[in-house]
Amino acid sequence: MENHPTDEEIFVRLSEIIVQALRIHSQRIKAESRILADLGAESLDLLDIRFRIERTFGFKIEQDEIIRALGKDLSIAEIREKLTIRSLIDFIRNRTGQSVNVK
Amino acid sequence: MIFSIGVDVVSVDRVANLWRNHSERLQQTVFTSEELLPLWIVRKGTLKLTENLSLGQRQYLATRFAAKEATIKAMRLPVDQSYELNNIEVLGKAHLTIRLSGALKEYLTKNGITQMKASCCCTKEEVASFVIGETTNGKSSDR
Repeated sequence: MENHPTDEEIFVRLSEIIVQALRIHSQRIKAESRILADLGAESLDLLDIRFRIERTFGFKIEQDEIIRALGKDLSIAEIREKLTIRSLIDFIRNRTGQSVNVK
Repeated sequence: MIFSIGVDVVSVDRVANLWRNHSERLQQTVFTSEELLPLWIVRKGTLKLTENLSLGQRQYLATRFAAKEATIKAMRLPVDQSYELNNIEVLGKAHLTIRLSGALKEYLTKNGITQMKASCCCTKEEVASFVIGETTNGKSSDR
């Protein structure tokens, strides 16, 4: 994937990742979909999604780095609300904007 | 005195799928080399990690993962605490030993948690792990 993908490109690739990781139909995936609350992801799924994002977009992600990017001092309930497809797109965009993709 | 408790349930098959798809990253970030010792095999004269897990091996990995997640909950880690899951080493079978390293060991010391005790049980489909964090400073977690 070329540097600085558009949000649309990120959404397409991310949707493929979510379909494979959560084994759900792509029609269920919207930008506002909450990964945990709406799409039913659990801790193992978040790990699966993290590794697939790393492989697809070419950068390493630390444990809970995606969660920490949502904000500080968040409760579990706030994390469940804020962890959406949109928040993942923002995270990936910010990271791909900083680094050169390495396969 | 009990600092806090944590519990987690994990699907055996889900962990096996995760191993099948991401064994390299799991070796780097989730499991320690000692935890993976039971998975080494000799194939054509070469020592390598098995890709095709037996039921026992799947249950073994699932137990490690469930215990790590339960430990995270028992430590009541703040969301902004940086760590990797291999900072938690889970050894043993039915009665587990939890060994912490890196940032999590520092967190343990800072919060006066002196010991983590864990146990688990498993079926063909799922593994459950229960972890207790103990402290001698008279303070339980208020998180």
